[in-house]
Amino acid sequence: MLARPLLDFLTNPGHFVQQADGARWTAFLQLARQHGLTARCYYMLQSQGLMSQVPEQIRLHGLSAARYSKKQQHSLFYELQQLEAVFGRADFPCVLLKGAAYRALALPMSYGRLFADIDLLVPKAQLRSARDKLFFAGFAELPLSDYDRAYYLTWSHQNPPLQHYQRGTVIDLHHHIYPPASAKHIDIQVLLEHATPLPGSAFLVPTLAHLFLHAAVHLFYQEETHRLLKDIIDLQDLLNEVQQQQQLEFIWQQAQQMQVQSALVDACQVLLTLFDNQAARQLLTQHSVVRRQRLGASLVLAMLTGTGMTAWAARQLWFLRGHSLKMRWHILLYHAVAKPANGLRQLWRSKLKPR
Amino acid sequence: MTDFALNTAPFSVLVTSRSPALRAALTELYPLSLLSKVDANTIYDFSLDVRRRWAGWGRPFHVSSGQQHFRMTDKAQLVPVFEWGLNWCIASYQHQYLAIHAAVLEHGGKALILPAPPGSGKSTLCAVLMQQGWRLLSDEMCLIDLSSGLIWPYVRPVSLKNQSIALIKQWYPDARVRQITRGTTKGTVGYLLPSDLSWQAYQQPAQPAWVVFPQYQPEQTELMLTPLPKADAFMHLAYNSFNYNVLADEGFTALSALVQRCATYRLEYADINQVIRELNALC
Repeated sequence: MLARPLLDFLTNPGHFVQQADGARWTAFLQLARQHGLTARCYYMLQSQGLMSQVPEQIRLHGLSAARYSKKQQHSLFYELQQLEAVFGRADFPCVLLKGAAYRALALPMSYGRLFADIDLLVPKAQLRSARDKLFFAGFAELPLSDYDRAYYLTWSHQNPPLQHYQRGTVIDLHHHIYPPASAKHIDIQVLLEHATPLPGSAFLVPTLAHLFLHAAVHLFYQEETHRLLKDIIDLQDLLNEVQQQQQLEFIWQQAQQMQVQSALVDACQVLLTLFDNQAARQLLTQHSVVRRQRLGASLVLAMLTGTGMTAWAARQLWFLRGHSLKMRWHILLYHAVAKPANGLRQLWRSKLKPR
Repeated sequence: MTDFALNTAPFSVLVTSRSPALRAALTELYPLSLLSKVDANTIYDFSLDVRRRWAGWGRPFHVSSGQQHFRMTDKAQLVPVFEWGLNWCIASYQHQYLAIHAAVLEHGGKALILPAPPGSGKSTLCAVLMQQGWRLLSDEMCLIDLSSGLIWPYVRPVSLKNQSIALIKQWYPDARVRQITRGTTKGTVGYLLPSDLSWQAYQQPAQPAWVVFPQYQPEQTELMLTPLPKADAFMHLAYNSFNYNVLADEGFTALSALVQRCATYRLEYADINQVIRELNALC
């Protein structure tokens, strides 16, 4: 696949730095920007003591990206401080997810990691209350057709994105980590129960195990590919953290309770193949009854490392697989008909109907 | 597919192009020594792709950086879209320097910074000063070194728009304006070639000495050059910066140092000859 030089860097930065010529570095710069990973690579080089072996030009571009990501992190903390007042008085828990949680926990992987929005999780019964509170703090839904709004509220796992009217910050307010309309029924009760309060804050953060499982669900139960590398590098760093905090047993047990073992196994198989991740090896040898590679893992590996037709075919299959997981066929069929029909009705109302 | 490199400084670009016409057009705008074949041992700072893709009749060229879309265009507008695409790469990804939307020219080793929003006559003024013998550093982007405070040139053709093309040709009949393109989103665009002096010193930084905020006022009879308080100059510069907000404390320190070492003015003018006289007297 085209992202090969970046993947090679991520799997073994030391080797890449020693081998790379001008053309490889040029491709690396381009891909790292495309995948939003330049700053992350910069911190990898720094933490692995490789910076002195890197061409000055690359170091400067890395530094440039690191500055941008630092600015984003300042903005994130600023926003969270504004939100403290909103959720401080709430009588329900509000859990930080993904990038915001990694940063709040000061995980090493959060250095240089870019994000587009702030992800929050509240219990479903309190979704409306949370939305109202955010509204009075200046966050409103972006303009959306009635149909799309109803779609979000009925079939998806989040409220339509909320944007601050002045600062432009976007909040994704979730009540679940996965669309309830799908064939998968993921139980997130354990995630909420194990979430711990951040010291001195109104927010809670999931355990590392749950953060990993969320990231794995996010990657393996959907059809998109444009953030594949970023998601995988997140999983790699998270699993290493899980191992350091001795939560490997816990993660297996939690995956079973949440009914997301397949995502965990997929993730472990990919991490083992790409990075020879020892935590992944341990989990697979101790628990997995299935020895062969699962379809999800095979497709991801083919998309990343396959060439030409293989990668192309894998992408098509990945798309079909992701869609069928996320949305059952009868619901997909309903929307395939209902959405254009609704569009026609709108057109009739606005343009054609005699006044 | 023609791949070539544009070895401008401080940033070079690798161009993957499906248009032989683009390469030919760029030879009119850049010195031949800066346009080269791709060298596998060189690291290019940015990559721009010009590919053919169907996006409605008449807009077959897709300008992008890898998979990051910039713009679709027809063949006639490829040159301006390419130039804007390059500006877009740099404005989005370079935070090595504090970058201010400004023209910069040098005279006697000292740099004059002309920051201004579009429509203030900045490019025209910049073109005139270059024709008067000032060395061009940039007509678009003032790149301030965060540690030394020096200004690094980024010499590119000066982008002239609409009436200013005719004015420059009228004032300086020997001015070399190339690749005039009509009907772009910014109207008619043409490129004035940098002077030989500017190209010769394209990697030579300059000490900032003056910051002048120009404003073209057609109804004005007398030129007004008013000293501007440093704090005001600081705020206006920050406002005209591409990345002041990204650089945080480093940006603040660099901009403070710049304002302190420069004389700062506001310039309101209608007659270009008055401006030339006044600036030559000042600098």
